Amino acid sequence: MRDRRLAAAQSIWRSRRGRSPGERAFLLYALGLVLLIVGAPVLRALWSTMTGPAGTVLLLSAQAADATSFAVAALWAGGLLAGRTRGPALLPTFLLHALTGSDIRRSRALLRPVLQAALAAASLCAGAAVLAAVAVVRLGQAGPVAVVVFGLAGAAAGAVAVVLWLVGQAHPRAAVPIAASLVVLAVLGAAISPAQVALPWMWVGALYPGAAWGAGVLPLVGVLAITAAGAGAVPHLLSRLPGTRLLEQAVRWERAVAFSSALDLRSARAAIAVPPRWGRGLRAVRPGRRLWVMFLVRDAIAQVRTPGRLLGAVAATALTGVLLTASLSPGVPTVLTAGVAGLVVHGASGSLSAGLQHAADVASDDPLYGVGDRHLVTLHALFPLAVLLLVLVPAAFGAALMRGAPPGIAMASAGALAVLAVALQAVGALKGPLPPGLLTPVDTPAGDVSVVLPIVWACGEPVLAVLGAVSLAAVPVTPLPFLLVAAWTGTLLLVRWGRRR
Amino acid sequence: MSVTAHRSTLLAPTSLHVGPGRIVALRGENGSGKTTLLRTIAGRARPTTGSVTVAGRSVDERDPGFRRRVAALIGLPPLAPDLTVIDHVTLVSSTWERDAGAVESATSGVLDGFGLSGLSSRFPHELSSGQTQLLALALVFVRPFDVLLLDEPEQRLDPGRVDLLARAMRARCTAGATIIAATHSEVLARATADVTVALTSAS
Repeated sequence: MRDRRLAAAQSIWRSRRGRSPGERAFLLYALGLVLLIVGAPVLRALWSTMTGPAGTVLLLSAQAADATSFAVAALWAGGLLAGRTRGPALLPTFLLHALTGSDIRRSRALLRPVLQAALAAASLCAGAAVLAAVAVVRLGQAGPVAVVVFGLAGAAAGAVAVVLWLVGQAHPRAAVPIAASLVVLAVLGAAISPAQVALPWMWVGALYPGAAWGAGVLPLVGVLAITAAGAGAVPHLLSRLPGTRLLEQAVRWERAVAFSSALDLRSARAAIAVPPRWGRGLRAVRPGRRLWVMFLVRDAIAQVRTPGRLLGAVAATALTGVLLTASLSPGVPTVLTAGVAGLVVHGASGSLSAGLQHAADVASDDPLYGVGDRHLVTLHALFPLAVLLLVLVPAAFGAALMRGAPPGIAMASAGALAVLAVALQAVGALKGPLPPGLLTPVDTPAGDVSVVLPIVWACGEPVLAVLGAVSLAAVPVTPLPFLLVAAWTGTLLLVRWGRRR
Repeated sequence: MSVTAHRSTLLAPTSLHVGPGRIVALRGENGSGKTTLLRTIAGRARPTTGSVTVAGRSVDERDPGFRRRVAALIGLPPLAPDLTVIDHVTLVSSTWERDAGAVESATSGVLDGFGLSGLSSRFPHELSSGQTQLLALALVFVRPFDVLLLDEPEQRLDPGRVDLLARAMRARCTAGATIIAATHSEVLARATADVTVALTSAS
């Protein structure tokens, strides 16, 4: 009876929003084209990188297995934290409201999206694992069975990530300490060999083709066992999900998707952010101090009120320092590593720049504060800049020492990247809505390419962050590319500042 | 002065002179130009013909002195999602007053005046639409001004809160400020206005 009700509701929903056979055929055709035109070359480039000199060094290094373990631990911790904002058990808002408001068990009503997420994650992780394993096998360092074993381990890691994602959605308060403990244990476990047998993510690393330890079937049994345990816990976790939290997440997600479709990424980010509820007793503003101290404290307390976001930003900033230093070292794919560093620091600095965003909004509106707009923006830039410098530079220093490289260039590059990242946040904050002129059709022999302009406009700042980080990696050869990126950023800042009202 | 844009008349030719310590209620139908007039005085729009001066000086919102003299609440201000009500008011006050004691006094005074003391530890997303309007009013009333421009300040407020608003307006007016408020509320206009100006649509 209950299954019929659920099936009926889903059938009505699909019939109202369903696609005709012609539309489905077109979608398949478009997907096929994208895979052929974009997917295949990207895969080919990835394969070339992995089997090239730099990739070979990484794949065959003694730390590859440990790096795999750490990546799995980070994936699982990330899943826990992501569940606090947007979990896997989500449906379109009205369907969710109808199903969760009925007496249909949530373990039935919400199972399908979780299974879809698990399938997607398992496929992606298995695909990445198989790609790496095939490269190692091709280099003669392991047999073909290793591909199957490591692929299975990858799929299991992806599935467990989705279960932890669901844990984060069902138990958002517990997710932060669990994720933090996971990261701490991952760091300690890498240093303390006997502890490795007890840590599930290390079992995945132990199955890396040609790994020095953990040969044998036990790690695979362990990985599959925790996957099975996780799968068994899913119905219980789904039943624990409260309706209000589900609806809140669904509404935020729909708004974020709507803003993203309009290429308003700033509003999308604001829509998906979890509003603060913690730390309201802390007075963020204590008058009587110097203005710069007052605003620094104001931004710091405001940030502390969303501790998950702050921790994530700090962790991402530290990772940026490590990646940036790595990109300056020989034998590492420089452009890829530096590019990832640029992207990560752009995301981290965005999480730290809520005050800067507010200042830009005020600067574009009626005056509210007794300080000039330029002064206000400068005051709000202090906090993200301070955090980035305090985390990024020491992380780069530490990474340089660990690699036995001179730390001076790494630290200077980290400092420059921190300043660029904050400047790009200000540029993005002052952007405003999409200029209608960018939607004008642009006819070319290849067709209307007007879709490219809004995408370039929307992605301008992350692209500049990537270019900035890559150009910093080239500074030992020539500083010119970085100076060009910095000059362009400065120009954008001045132009958008002038047009802010 | 008048304001036109794209061949549409946003504000028909209008002349207005307001002295210090007076409250002017702007009345008129939707589209008669009330908000346009306020925006022009606030320096957010330029008159197409004529001019606007405040205290004998031309309007320029880039001038810090102008911003000190003229405060405006034309639409809700951008609120910081991660600051509580008391944080918002204290921060705005702190940028106008250097003395900590004066800031605390102004903050608590305006929160009491608008009935927001019990909500001081709430975040903006935890406020109702009426409470958000009260916060917006508190933010503009906590700061010093010689001229205050209000656009339908009574919206979303119950009769009791409209009364609080009227008292706040009269108190600042008694202290010498000039207030120009566009309003559809007969109650607010009757309770506060020294002069009522009716704008008519140009069409």
